[in-house]
Amino acid sequence: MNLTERYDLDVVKWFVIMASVYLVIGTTVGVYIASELAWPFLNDLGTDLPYFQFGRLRPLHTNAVIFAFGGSALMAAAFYIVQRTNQTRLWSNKMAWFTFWSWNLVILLAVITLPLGLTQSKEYAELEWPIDILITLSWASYMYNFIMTIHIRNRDKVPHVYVANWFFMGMMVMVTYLHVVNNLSIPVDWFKSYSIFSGVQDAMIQWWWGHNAVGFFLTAGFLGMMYYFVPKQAERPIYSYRLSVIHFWALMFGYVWLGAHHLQYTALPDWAGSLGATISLAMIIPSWGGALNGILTLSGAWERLREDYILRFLIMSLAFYAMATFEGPVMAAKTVNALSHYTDWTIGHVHAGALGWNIMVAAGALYHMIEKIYNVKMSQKLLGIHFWVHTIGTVTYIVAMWVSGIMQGLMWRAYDEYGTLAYTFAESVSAMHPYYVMRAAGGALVVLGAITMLINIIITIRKSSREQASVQAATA
Amino acid sequence: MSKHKNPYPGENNTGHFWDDDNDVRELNNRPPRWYMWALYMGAISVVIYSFYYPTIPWFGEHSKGSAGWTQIVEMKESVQQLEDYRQDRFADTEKAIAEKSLEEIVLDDELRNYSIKTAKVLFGDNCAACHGAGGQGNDGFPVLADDDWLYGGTLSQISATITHGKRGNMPAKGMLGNLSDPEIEKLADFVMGLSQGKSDPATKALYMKGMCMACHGPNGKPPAPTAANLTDGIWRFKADDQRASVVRTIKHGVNKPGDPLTQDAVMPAFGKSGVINAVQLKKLVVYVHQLGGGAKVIPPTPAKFKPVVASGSSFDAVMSAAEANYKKAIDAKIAWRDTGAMIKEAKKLHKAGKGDAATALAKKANTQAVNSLAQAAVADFAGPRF
Repeated sequence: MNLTERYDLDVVKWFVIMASVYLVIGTTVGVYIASELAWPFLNDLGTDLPYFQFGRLRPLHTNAVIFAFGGSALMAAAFYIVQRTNQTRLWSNKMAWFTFWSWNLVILLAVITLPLGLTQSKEYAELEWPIDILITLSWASYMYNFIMTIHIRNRDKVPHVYVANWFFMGMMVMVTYLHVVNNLSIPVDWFKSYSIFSGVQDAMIQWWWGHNAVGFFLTAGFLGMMYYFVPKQAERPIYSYRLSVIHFWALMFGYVWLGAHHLQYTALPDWAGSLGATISLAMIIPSWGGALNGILTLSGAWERLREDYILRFLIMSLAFYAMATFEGPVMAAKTVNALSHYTDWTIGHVHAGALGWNIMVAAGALYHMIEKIYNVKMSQKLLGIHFWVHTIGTVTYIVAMWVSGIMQGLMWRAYDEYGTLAYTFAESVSAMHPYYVMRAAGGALVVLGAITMLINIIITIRKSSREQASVQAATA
Repeated sequence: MSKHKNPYPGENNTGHFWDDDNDVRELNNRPPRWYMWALYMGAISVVIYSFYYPTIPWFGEHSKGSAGWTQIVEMKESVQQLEDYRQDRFADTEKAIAEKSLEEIVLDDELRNYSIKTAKVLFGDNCAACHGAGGQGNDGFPVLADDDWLYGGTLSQISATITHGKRGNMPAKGMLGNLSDPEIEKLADFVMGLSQGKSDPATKALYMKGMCMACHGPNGKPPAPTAANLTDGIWRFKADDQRASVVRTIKHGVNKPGDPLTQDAVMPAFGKSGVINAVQLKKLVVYVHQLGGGAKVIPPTPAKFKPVVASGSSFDAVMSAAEANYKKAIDAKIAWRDTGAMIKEAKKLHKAGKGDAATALAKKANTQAVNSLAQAAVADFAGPRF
């Protein structure tokens, strides 16, 4: 009995396809807004229309890459992994389809409402309250189905719950809680609501959510992917069970404290900012636990990297993950934060994680799932092109933002021999131009890679259905 | 699990297996020693950091931290550092700028240069967004680098503009609001003509009907600052289609309440905003003044001409002083009209033998000439002359 008969993989397949479609869309919007910063006339192309200006498209970009691409990849991976590691079908295939359609409806609504300027003005939580409710329903169905699938597993064959599932569950529980609390608001009409929190409390709640969108959605969930696909692709056992226990609980307890480091040197009380900063520093090692366990899993099988591009994606993602989770706490430390806050360095850091870690590990996972579901080898040539184009694009992007961010921070605090500011703000903006161009170029490479992935997936699916058709014709 | 045969015997795995092929499994390895030490160090660093900085909330209060750090303290310390630096090097210069008049600052090379250098970023951060980084203006915002001033280009006028801001005002459809749309189209052609040195007598009636001359002067040159000069081709509301912009301005006025198409012309009161202090304001005035179009500053040096003559002087002494000062006034193109007549009259009286009356009149002529010269010293600050 092959995999597709044994498990509910249609919904997984569609989440994989949609994830790769949304990756192309989300990164394309990203390159466009990056270009708007480099060449401001692109904001409206002389039309004076607000719909495609930076302020409208930027949330569309973040929502498209985090929730449309990241969310679809997470849902594909979770539904795939939970079935395989528990050796059972989904608790409810119908509910999984509900999750699929409702999640895509959320994305469609985001695409409509954000360019129209309908927003709660909360970063990564821009969508207005009716869509928030839909997100909650969709997410709850995802979580319930996942947990119930673990519950109904064959406890004889699989008495234990695999570590990948812990990370998915941790993410699901925490994201539900964060999403609901941060979006508590009083609606005034269908398209407008006001947060029930006010002032600095609102800012604190927002960044408690904001950082954990990164911490749970983009870290814990994607570590779940890593814990399954790395050993599977490497055909090696996980290096240390104990390490996974330690860093799982350290992540779960640690991450929720970090949000305050986004609000240092603001109206947030000093103690709250320091608390966020100190826990951030202490989080380097727990975060590294995942990278270490993944990389050590490969020890003794390094030669496999030579021919296996999927494994290369997975291992490269861990390198970027380790780098970004070191960089983040450093940026949270007060002295560094005083320089880095409000600069492009932050953007560079986020993209080190998003491009280097999330897209790469998800690409490895999506490729792996397509190969397993269709029982074919994908085009190695296209895989190789994607890997190199994406890696070069990511490095270009990050380096551009490092240089521009640190330069920005230094220009803003530079004094001349008279003891007055050496540069106007506008001078710091014009100094950014070459780096904005470089960033757009790096992003364009990422888009190119994403298109390569989409093409590769489409080719593979079409080839495999042709083969199946011919097999059926032969047997008939 | 013991129930199942270990498919990977001798591997030191935990005995848990997942996936269809039972190939997903974990080893029993301990985490690397450095990792565990680093983890403990992380926990210890939390404790140290928490003692060092204010970190622990406690019943509405919080721990203060051994460093005595608060973000306000940090901010004050770095501001103080800067203040000390400035105090060390530029205390005298700053004091001089605070105390001296704008004219004195401009005429003093050191103070002027210092003001310009230290005002560069003030201008860039506060003014350049509208007026351009070099004062070259933007569409809808006046150029500061030319000598066409709406509100005067003397130091005191620039200072008043920055201090109090400006709010343009022009009624829509003429002063009485009585111009029809076709009339406005014709008037726009007339105004466009004015900027090219033409004045079409046929449509000038509309200029009169709209009472435009009340502010813009009978020929498009305003008699006093505050209205735009229509004859110089420098447009307050510059646009690619300048005629359309002129039509819009006439039709919808400037800052007409409730009209979305009205031309906006508002400059914030920077001097009152708290964004810049009094010394910074002075520096900015000097900076804007030197951008290209500031009115010339004449040294206020009244001692250079002959003073009013002492009482008891002879007629000849009084007359020579009067003539000399009158000549200077003529050279400065500031002489009063009747001074020359007085001098003539005094000479006549002197010839006629009326010595006292002649001397008194000569004295009066001299006083007038001196006054006119004194006026010349400040005339450049009195606004553009037309």
